[in-house]
Amino acid sequence: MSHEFRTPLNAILGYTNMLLQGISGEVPPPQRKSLSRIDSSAQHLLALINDILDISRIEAGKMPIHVGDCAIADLVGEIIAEVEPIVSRTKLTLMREINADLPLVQTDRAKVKQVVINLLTNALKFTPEGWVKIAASYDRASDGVVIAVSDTGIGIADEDQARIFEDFTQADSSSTRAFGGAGLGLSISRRLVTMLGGQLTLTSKVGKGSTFTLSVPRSLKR
Amino acid sequence: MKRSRRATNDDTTKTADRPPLVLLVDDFQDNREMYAMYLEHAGMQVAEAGNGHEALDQAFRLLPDLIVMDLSLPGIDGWEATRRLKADERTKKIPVVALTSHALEGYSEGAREAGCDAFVTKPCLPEQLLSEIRKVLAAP
Repeated sequence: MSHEFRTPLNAILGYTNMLLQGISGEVPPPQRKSLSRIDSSAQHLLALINDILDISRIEAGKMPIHVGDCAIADLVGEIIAEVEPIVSRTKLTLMREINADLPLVQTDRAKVKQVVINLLTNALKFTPEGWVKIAASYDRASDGVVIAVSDTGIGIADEDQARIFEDFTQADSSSTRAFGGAGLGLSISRRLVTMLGGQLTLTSKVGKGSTFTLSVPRSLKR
Repeated sequence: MKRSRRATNDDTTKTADRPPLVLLVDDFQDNREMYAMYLEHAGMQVAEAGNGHEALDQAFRLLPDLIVMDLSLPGIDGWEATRRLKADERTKKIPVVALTSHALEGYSEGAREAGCDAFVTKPCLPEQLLSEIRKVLAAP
């Protein structure tokens, strides 16, 4: 299915990009603005398609799991470097708190990364001021690693806290327009975490902020 | 299919005396011509093929400096075309950049087994393809 969606999108994104680069001649500002909107809408559509493909692969049991060594501190460093361009467009502080006693984890590194990046970009999106923090620690009781993403953002009301993990849902339906996004990130994240034998939970207070906590077993049994 | 030439001053190419010739193989005309337009703008020579048979004909006739191969082609697919090119003395040293819309794992391994030298996933902006081509051409 992915092939059929991506082929025409490839042409839309590519030609738009070439026009914006001025390959076919200088583009006047009003046209440039319209082209930029075609470009951002096409990218939005691509993100949606990728998300829907992810969900359908998970639901069909066709999402492969690749278990390997995962050093959480390195992974967090990598993730922070990747979201840095987003952070620099805000006034937010991104903090990290990594416990020194973290064991090497046997899990699907790429999936943990996808989930944490989703949580971080959400936190950055829904926090107008203050900070966003990523913390990682070892939980002896469950023999698992806990990664928590906290923010001082708008928070999520009690009655919305279960709903936001559903497909195409953000806490406030008007926020989809205000904040962008398809509302699929958390539902994919929760599915992925379940595949990894872990849990994704939320504590939040409106106006104070949110903490999303991801826990995965130290060793994922295949 | 068409072949265009253009005098250029591109300086990132392997050969000093002439711009590199890239054979673009893709059955979707809009994408193929888009990449052709961009590569020509960047100073490369471009030849095009819309299926695996054409790709092989063009490759043996023109001996391009590099081949961009969409893997899902009607008739002889991109994997098979690449295997045949890599099995032939005349063409086995020509680098092949595989291009595919299938992001699924397994595709890149399959492409490398067939002999592809690099692997790019669509959507791939023309500038991304160009930078991949330059990287492969610059490799020893």
